[in-house]
Order: sequence, then C-alpha cells, then structure tokens
Amino acid sequence: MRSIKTGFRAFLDANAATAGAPVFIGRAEQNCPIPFIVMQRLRTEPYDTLDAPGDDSLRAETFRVTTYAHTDQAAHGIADAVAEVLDDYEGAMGSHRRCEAAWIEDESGDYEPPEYVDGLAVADLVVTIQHSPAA
Amino acid sequence: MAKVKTRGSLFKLTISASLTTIAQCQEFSTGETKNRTLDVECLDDSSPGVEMMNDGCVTQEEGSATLLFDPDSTNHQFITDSILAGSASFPIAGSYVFADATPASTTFSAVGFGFGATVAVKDVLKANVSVTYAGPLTWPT
Repeated sequence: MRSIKTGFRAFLDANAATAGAPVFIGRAEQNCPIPFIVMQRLRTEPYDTLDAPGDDSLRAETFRVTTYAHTDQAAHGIADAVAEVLDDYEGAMGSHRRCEAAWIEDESGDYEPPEYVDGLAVADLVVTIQHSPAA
Repeated sequence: MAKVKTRGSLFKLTISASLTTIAQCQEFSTGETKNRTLDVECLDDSSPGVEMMNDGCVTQEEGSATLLFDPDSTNHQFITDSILAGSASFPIAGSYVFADATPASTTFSAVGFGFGATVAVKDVLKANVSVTYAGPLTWPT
C-alpha cells in the first residue's frame, strides 16, 4: 500500500490526543458520537525520478484533519492536542507505512470567528506526512 | 513526428568502464549546443534588424541535473570523488538517453563536474550536478 491514509486514521483513532473521538476518512458516519474527526487527503507528492518512477521508498501526503464538537473550545482543544502529537512525529503509523517526518502546514486560528457546520463547531488542521514502507 | 515522454530518460556516466545510470535523477538539462554568432551590425546599416553572422564555431553550454541525493549511493559518490580527484579522473564519457522507442541518446565527454546538496525543511534531500563538456554533444542525425 502506497498511501499512509488508513495507517494515519488508525494512529489518530488510537491516540489519547483525540480524547476518544472517532476518526473517519472522507465523511463521518451518520449519528456518530460527538466530538468526531474527519480526515481528507489533499495531495500527494511521490518524489518520482526519471530512472525509477514507481519508487515509493519516500512519499509525502497532505491531509486536512477537521474536528467537529459541540463548542468551538472543544473542537480547538482536540485539534490543538492532535497538532501537538503530530508535529515532528517520527515512528510507526499503521502496518504498511512508517512516518518519517510530519509537520503542521496550517491550523485554524483563534483570531478567526468560530465556524459552525450543521450546528457543530469545527477546527481545521492541515498536516503533511513524509513516509516510507514499514520494515 | 512523435511526442516522447520523459519518464525513463537516463543520465549516464562511465563508472568502472561501463555506462552506468546515475540513480534517482529527477531532471536533467543537456545545455544548449549553439553556433557561435557575431553581431556585425554597422553604423551605416539602415535596416532595423541587427545583422548577425556565423563564425563557424560550435559552443556547448554546461549540462545540469537534479538528484534525490543519497549520500550512501556509490554512483552519487562517484561524482564527488571525481571532483575531488582533480583532473585525474577526467575525461569521463557519458550519455543522456531519451525515452523514445529507439531509444535515442546523446553522448558527451565530461571534463569537470559541479556538485552541491540542497537541504530544505519540508522537502527531500536533493543535489544539483553540473557537467562541463570537452566539446559539443553528439545529437541524433
């Protein structure tokens, strides 16, 4: 598997930073518990070369991680905790790929007016993960 | 006429007497093979166009390549080892192979290399290579 998407989802789902909020890829299940997290892959960078274009020994993927909660404070609290865990993380991330480096590209800030979707407060986080095949 | 993809194009140098692909090359540029021309515009020339002439010489610009640098790669080390050996390693024969059906290639004799690593946060380790040729490249005819 060339994507770390499922490993990243499992990593977040099991991490204490999410405070038990379930993590979904793409969209949340109907009637899921609140708060919850939805992650979407925004782009991939395969570091292709002319001589070995299929080499997946190092790839980068960028994800948007959106936290939904009843209050803006709760949504940002989880997003901040997730950012704290991910920024500069290196190590296992699922069974197929290993996180070599991770960095936060963007976070929705406190200076922005609280954003609500379907009555729920949301906080966004954009993270890029460089990963290689798990040993 | 055919439109030719670039994936599968190769930058090769002679290492231990055989042409060897320099691995993890992301892009290369051969540099321009050019006729040397002279500006022969005269003060009394009334035409607005600048008059040029060809003096019969052919010049060759440097080539360059971008590698995803692996400091442990022996063929990346070959380039830096050759530089640090001064003139002892040169000339070194090489070629650029294109990804057409033939495949076509252009060959050269290198008399010097340049090499520098680029390290940037949020990126992958890269190196820039320059190639100074002994003369014009040979192109498919």
